[in-house]
Amino acid sequence: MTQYAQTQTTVSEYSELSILQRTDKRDIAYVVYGIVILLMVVCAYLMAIFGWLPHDPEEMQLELMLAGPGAPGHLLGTDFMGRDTLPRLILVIKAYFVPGLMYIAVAILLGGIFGILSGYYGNKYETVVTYITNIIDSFPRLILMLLVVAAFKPDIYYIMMVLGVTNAPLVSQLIKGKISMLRQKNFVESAIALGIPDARIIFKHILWFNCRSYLIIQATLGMGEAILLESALSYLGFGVQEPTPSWGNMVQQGANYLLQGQLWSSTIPAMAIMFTVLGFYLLGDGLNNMLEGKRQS
Amino acid sequence: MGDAILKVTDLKKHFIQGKGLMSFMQRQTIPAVDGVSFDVNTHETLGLVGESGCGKTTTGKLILKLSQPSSGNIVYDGIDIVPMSNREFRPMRSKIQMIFQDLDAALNPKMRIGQILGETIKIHNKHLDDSAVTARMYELLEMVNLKKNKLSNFPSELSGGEKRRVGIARTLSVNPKFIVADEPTSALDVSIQAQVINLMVDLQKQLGLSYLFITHDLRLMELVSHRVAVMYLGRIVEIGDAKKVAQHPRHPYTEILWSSLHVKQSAAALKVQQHNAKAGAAWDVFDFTEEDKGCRFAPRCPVFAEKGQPQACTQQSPTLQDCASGHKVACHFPL
Repeated sequence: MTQYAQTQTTVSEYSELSILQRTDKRDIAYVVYGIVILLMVVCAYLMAIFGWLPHDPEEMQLELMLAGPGAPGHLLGTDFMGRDTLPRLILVIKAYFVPGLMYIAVAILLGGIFGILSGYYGNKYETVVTYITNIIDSFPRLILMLLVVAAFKPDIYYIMMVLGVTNAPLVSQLIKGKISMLRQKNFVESAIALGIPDARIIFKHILWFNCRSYLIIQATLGMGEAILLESALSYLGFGVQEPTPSWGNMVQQGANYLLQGQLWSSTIPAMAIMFTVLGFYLLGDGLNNMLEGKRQS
Repeated sequence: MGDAILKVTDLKKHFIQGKGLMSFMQRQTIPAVDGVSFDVNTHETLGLVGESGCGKTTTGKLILKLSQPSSGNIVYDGIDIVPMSNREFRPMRSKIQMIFQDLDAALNPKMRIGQILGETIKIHNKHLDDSAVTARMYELLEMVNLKKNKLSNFPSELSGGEKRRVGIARTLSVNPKFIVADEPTSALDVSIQAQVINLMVDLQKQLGLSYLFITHDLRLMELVSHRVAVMYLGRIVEIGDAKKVAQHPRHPYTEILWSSLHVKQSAAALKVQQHNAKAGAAWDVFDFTEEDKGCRFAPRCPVFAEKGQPQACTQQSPTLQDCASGHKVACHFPL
């Protein structure tokens, strides 16, 4: 009896390959690039916290206003008040880091609750959740942020909170889709039949074992988005206010001098935004293809 | 055979089709299970046969409270489980278990076999420590003839037969007394089917289990079951001793079903097919959109055609009548 079973081939060729072998080379490159950016962000965060800055970010050198990269003593040049760009770029990370994490936490928590209610319990919850998410979705996000900033104060935490809430419908949709897909499979039903409590099925069997890579991907993509949206808001003048630097308001200040031929003080922070956001997006994308498998084309 | 461990009386499950704003215009009730009654005795296997979509699996799920019946009673060991809430029923879940038809999906694809088994062992025995859980896992694996090293595998790394045996081991891990086996041999080839069936029979002897064995495979049914219930479109048309039902079917449907086992097609079925072809009528299934009265098998029934479509069959729904000791049939004109 057992002998017969052993002669069968049990392992598909696909699962014999390690995760690196079966991933597209391009995706690995994405992830590596993303991780490098992530490490740079973490380094910058540590530098900002412990004050290991290459230059005093507040010190003004009026004779060196709007200097380009490579100016003596200023690796990335200076801004319109002659302040060194590099330490200000680094300092910004401190302003982004915790609020960004908060944004992700709010989005995943709120979206997770909505997603679980509508995906696992369905029916009436689904209708209510759909109404709520539709209301959130139909309100222009930037206007809502402006409203909140106007009503309270232009604080990055308020902005990230609004971002988190407005991003919850997306996360909820994704989690709902995943859960209702898994709910169709009998392993959920058999877990219920075995007497495993609902909470354990949702959090352990569905979220932990089947959605964790997915949530990590969402968090990575969200981090990039947070930076992008805060920059847009700061550029409009509603984000982080002077004298606290943010990439958005640095671009905005530099932009005033673009027409006079002073390119660098605006493009350097803009490039910081681009490379960082790209890093997070590529990391999310690469991880997605690596862990979840590429969709068959 | 002992006393009835499970008594099902007049069990009904009606699905309502048509959702949304305009649903009141086209709402349609589909009686997937419509007044099913049977008993399962201790240490006994009751086979439930019937074609796809006749409500076999739904019946099994109702017994496990995976869906709530529309009406009827399910009495397990003297306790009616229908009015119980899920929370009240949870401690009883260890007694009633199900082997699921879909062997891939019954196991969480991202969990290792050891995790899957260990979890269910711990759920109903919270006081067990890790070494006792491992010992129990080895015991279960031995029961179902699996090697110990399979514990670290993922379900996708196992063959169909191995997955099925893991499924059975998991079912056994909670010490059930009654098991609903929903097509336990589906998607397995014949030799593996035999292994699984032998395993199930052995376990029944060892552990004193009772089975509700759901299948459409009549050969297996005859091998395993002590008694057989034949279902057609949500109703039981014939129930009785497995050998008697197989050898002397009283319901025309049962007769056609069993004659399909032999190479030669049933003469009766052939006749009704020819008759229908001549009359231009399709080999038709009962239409639920019409008013539900009369025998549901009538549109396909050779006896109905032979007797010139008698009134009784179209007007009155036949009930299960005792025709020999314990052999019941629901037909106005039993064979």
